[in-house]
Amino acid sequence: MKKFLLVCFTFVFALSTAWAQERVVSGKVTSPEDGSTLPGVNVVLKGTTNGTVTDADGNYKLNVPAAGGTVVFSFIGMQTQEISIGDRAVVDVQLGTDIKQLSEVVVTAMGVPRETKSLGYSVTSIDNQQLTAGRTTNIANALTAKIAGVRIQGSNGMVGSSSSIFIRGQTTFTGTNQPLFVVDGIPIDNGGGANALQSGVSNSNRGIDLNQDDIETMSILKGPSAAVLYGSRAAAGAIIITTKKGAKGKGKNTVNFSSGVTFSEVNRFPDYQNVYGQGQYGVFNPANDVNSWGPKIAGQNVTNFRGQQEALTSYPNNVKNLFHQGRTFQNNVSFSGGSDKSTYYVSYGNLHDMGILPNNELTRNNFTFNGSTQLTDRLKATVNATYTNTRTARTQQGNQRSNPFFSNWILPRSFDWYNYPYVLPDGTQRSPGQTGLPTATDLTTQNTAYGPDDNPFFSEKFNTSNEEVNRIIGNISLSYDIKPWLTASYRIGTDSYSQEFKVINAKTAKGGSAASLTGAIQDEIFNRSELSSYATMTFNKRFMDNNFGVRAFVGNEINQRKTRDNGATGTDIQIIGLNNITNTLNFSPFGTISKQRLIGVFADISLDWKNSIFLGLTGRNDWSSTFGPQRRSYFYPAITTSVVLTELVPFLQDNNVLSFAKIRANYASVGREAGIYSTDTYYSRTGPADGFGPSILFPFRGQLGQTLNNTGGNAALAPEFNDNMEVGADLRFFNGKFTIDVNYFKNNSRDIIFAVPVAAASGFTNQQKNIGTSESKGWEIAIGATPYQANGFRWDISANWTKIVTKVTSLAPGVTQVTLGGFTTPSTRLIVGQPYSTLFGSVFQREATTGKLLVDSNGRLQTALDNQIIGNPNPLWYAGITNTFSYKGISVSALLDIRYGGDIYSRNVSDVENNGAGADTQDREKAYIHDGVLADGTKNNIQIHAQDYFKDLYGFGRGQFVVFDGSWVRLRELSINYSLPQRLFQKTFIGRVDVGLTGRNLWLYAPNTPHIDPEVNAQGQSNSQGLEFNGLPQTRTYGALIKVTF
Amino acid sequence: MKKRTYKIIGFAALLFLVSACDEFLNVNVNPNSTTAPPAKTILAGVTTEIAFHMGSDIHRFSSEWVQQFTGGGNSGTQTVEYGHYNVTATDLNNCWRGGVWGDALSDLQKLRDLTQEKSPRYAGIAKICQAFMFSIAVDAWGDIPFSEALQYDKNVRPKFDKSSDVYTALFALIDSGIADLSATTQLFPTADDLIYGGSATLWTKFANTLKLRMLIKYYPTNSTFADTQIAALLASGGPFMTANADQFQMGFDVLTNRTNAIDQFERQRANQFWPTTTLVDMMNLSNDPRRPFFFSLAAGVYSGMAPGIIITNPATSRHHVYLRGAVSTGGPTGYAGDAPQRMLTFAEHNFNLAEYYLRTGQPALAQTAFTNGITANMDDATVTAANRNTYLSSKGTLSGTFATALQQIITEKYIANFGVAVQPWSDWRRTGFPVLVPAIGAVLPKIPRILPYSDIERTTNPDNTPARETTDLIKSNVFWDPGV
Repeated sequence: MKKFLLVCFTFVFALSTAWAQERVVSGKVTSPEDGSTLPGVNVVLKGTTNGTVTDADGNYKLNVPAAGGTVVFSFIGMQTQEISIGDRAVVDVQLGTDIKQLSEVVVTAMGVPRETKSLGYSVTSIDNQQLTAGRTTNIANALTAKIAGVRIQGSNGMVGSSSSIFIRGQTTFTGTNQPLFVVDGIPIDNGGGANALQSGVSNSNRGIDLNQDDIETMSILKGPSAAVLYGSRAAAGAIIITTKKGAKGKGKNTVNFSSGVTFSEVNRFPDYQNVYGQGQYGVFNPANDVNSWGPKIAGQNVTNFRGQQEALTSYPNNVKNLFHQGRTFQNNVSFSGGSDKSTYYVSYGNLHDMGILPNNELTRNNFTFNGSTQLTDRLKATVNATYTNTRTARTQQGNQRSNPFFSNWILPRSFDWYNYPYVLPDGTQRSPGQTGLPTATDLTTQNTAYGPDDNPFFSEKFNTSNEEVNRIIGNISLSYDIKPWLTASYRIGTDSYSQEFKVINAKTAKGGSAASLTGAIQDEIFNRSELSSYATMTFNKRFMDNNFGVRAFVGNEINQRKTRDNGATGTDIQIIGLNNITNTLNFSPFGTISKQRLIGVFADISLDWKNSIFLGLTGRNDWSSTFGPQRRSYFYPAITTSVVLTELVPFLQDNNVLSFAKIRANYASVGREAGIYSTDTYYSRTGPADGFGPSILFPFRGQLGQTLNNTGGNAALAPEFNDNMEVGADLRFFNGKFTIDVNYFKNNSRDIIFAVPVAAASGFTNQQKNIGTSESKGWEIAIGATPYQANGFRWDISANWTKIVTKVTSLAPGVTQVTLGGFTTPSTRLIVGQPYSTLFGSVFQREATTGKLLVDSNGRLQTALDNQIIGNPNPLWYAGITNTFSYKGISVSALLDIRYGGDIYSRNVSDVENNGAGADTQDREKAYIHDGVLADGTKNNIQIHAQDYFKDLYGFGRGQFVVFDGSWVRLRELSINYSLPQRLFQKTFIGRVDVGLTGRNLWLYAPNTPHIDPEVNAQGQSNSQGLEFNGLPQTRTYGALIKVTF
Repeated sequence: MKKRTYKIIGFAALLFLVSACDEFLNVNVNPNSTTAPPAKTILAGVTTEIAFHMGSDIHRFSSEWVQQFTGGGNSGTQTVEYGHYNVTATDLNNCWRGGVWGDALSDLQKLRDLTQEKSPRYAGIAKICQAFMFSIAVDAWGDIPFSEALQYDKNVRPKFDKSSDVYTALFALIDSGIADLSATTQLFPTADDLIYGGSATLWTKFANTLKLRMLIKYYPTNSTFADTQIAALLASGGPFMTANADQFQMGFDVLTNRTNAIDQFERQRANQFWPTTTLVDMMNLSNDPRRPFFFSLAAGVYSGMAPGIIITNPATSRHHVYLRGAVSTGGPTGYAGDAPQRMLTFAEHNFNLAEYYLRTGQPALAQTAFTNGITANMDDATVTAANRNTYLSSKGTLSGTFATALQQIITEKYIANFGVAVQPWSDWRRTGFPVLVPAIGAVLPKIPRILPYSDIERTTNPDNTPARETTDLIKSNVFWDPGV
């Protein structure tokens, strides 16, 4: 924003009066932060009216007396500098930010720019540079660890994987806890990032369609008070994105070009043992066995799964070699500029992200046009439009046999896929036992996989999952200044996309829901369109000698969201390699449409006294189509206040230590809509299933089946509410060399709408009700410091720390827990009195009094009948620390991401341990005795086989010891940027050249999680957090980029 | 005047806006679903649900415990853990909540409510199906909700009724269903009845046959009651099942995701569910001619997996055409998959009669029924008459003491009920036959005699759901179970 002001002032001419022209002093004014030049700075000879302003490159020339004289350099928001010039002819100056003068301007709800000091709530703004420092494909990831109160949770390392964004914890149960995304005033969809557990790819949250290079700023509205104007849909906060615009004026047109490449690789592999081979209890078993509990590998001859003799060999890199290096190319070009009346910004961005698995990639093309023109003195028209085409090709993941890492993460240590063919000449694959023949005769050279899972190369090549999204986000707006203090505006915009899927489960592939071995082809088109209309009126005037300011904002919102999902699945592929759906025998079509509407009216009144005491009153009434006619209208208010102590309290004014101090407080309540179509109980197509995979698809035997939905609707549903209070302080010391912003908030959600589980013997398993309550409270601290700044060298620290506790305080009478996600075992649950998404899984039987593990007469452990709480996936606190060092044109910035606590249930670790692949299972000669007691209370002394020991503790479904504290410290981002000296291109058309190196996730310290990077979430963008289930590992990336401005 | 006109226009506009708003917002009717489907779609759906679930979880639990099947794979694989009696309350959530109640009983209740008045043929079928599902639920869980059940949002915490009271009520429900079948009806099922093609006679036969199955359960705990009630039932003349064509079973299709549940499980989870040595060896010993239909050959012989054993030996017979339909290439996927899901067979009906006659001192009738039972099942398995007769000549004569004769009947019933859920387990609990030893790796000292209640059912209906600890699983929990 500061830059924006500078640019504006370039075109403000200061009059200079003639003076005795004795000599000329010249120089350049630059910013100490990044060495950039400052245009528009006032340069005045002290005590005179003789002055000038710096030009677009920060240069100035000023006539001064022959000797002596003092020149004053000043600019709004900068520290004024007085320099005695003596007899110098060249005086270069650096102007630092003046914290007392310039209050940062941020974009608030409805796109209204406001000075932060006037706000009674906390808003954090991220600019493009911060956003793109550590290059990432997904915009959500670019926010990681940068903002207090905001937690980004990645799902896995698959290309285009979604990330969840949690702003101030979770406030609702089964509805979305994801913030509303708003681009240039129009809400857009960031959904779609949830993952199925047993099928499909790791999906993208649709924010991935945004080109980060087109973004000027992102404002994160954290609480209901900040977001209340957006109403129901911003109950989980809002992310307000403002795209780049051209600058008005007679300045030259600018061309920006940037190009970058990054490489990615698996961040962390398990520590494997490489001593024992495939098999169990020391006996080699080539077929249907993922265990590495076999014999010691000593080059002995064995019969492999193809019936051939081979020397048993250890392959330490057999898993690593299944990945390759990922590469991402990113190119952007933009043209921007303007005239006196109009501005334009046109850009094209191309991204090609090739993941760590073969045949996995994401390609994105963005075309953006932003323009505005002043039609008359009072009437301004604006158009913002982006067209995006995003294509992905990905491999299936999840708890299923076509996931190439379903069991290859624990590939038997004596097995290497590269030694064998992955496909038969007829395009199929085969495993021993597939035809039911006994093992001895079924070890044939026809086998291409040793076990029940797909050959990973086969799966990556033939089980394809392709998507293409074509999306338009745009709006047009008109604004008319009725009076200088009264503006009416209207904006209408849309976010529409069509997402086409083509998913192939190859013939003989073993995963997928409907495709076991017969193959399946699914064609699907999902369309979503959202239309938003805003009519607003802004009143802005000061009264009483400018001491009293009134700003009023009233408006109306009309919003419509429509989806259409049509597709068909064909099963039993007939001609291998022909991926047209008509090449199948059985078809099941599906199709749904939905429509949801919302009308809102809102008013926001801000009052201030001398720009130092602020009071804001906001109210909004919504009418949502998701409620019955009697319940659809609901009102909610917000009140915010802030006081700038350094302007109000006399003895604080102009002190040298505390340069700026503001305290703020607010209270708000936000209503939330119900889920669509929850007011009635419907029937739907019968389709019994049992959770193991088998299911019946209607039409069946020539009949259509209809079954009553298990969840009963409720015509009396009313909105749920979040009541939120927040107090905070913004303190800046030593002219901004040290700043601290502290915030405490408490959010209580009530009447939470969810499908309350009821006794199934009632005929319903669930019932829609307004009933739950939850509470989240927390502290957010943001610190900025400039510990050192001299001689062109500058060191800045920006840090944030957050501690949020979200607790389920009540569900429904008698209901103490509901399942949020996961499996039968483990699951994630909402449990009264416990944190959100508590991990729930199997535990071991223990001796009642001592709590020691209970060991049976065979020396083995047994799981208890009922599952128990086994972990809390929510971090106790998290923090981000950015250190930036700049010297002249060089700047080095490093972001440390720290997370303390946050449990993760890891299926991968469970597999690594219980199948004997992990290094910690290598010591097999020693006596294994469970540390527990026998039924009679005596200490267990029964020795068991190492395999039994590890299977007991970490076997499938045994949750207790595969839950790990996911604390980490990681070097989330590292960027090195060098701005080439301007003099190099003085004679050329090139304005500026930056080159840089960038890296993400370069270093990880996760002391309490073995074998994996704990930043994973099986269900992706979801309320269900804390489960890892055979997910692709996270990646680290590094690369280089160049930016050229013409 | 001018001002007033503006006011009127303004007010009218406001009114228009308000009503237009209501119109604009009335879009919350789901265009993808109906709230009132025709009865025939509910019937076709719900019978499919019943037949599916009777080959699903509840079949796996009960057939593993009674050692017709055992799990395969690693420790931790669900079927392996079931076979070790390590079935937890969470394992029952799908079966109890989704299957028995959410799918079957709930849809049947809606079908009843929808058709009782004008089309009682449907209501009658729904009642008889409900009686069947309730009886399965009682046999598997003991006390269950009945008198307050299925009232939807009117009572979301129904009390649990004593298992004996539920049985008593079920006889009345069946009678009411039989009466409905012959009442004047506007609509009547035809092809939408996937079990009996709309035949009221066949439904009546099934209803009476089901009554006999339920009454047999009163042996041995309440033999007097069983004696008199069965005598009365038989005296009523039924009608009862008289041929395999009358069996309570449902056919499936030779299409992906439309084959029977046992077939689908084997396709999708090959090597997790194997015939046991208990069953296969028993049939090997008697050269049972049903083996080529029940089991695939493994290295030229029929061999089972020892109950509970962890290491999967792929050189084991898999279940075969009797449960999976015509064989093509064999193995996990090489079957048509359209074999019927058998739920109450004509063979079982004969064995029930045989037991009744044996217990009431009518050996000749018992012998006839016994022979008929074996014959019915041999026919069902498509065994040739010659092979059947060979078998009958060595195994088809009841002999010895009451106990050995009873053992013969129950053992033959156990074989014949291959693929029938719950019933063989109930017979074992009632009679102790076949004699079983707990599985290898069992976590309980004895074979369980009851299923845990679903943990979600407990949390949602905590005051009513009876306590059931791990140790309770091996105790008698159903009124007819004599325990040990």
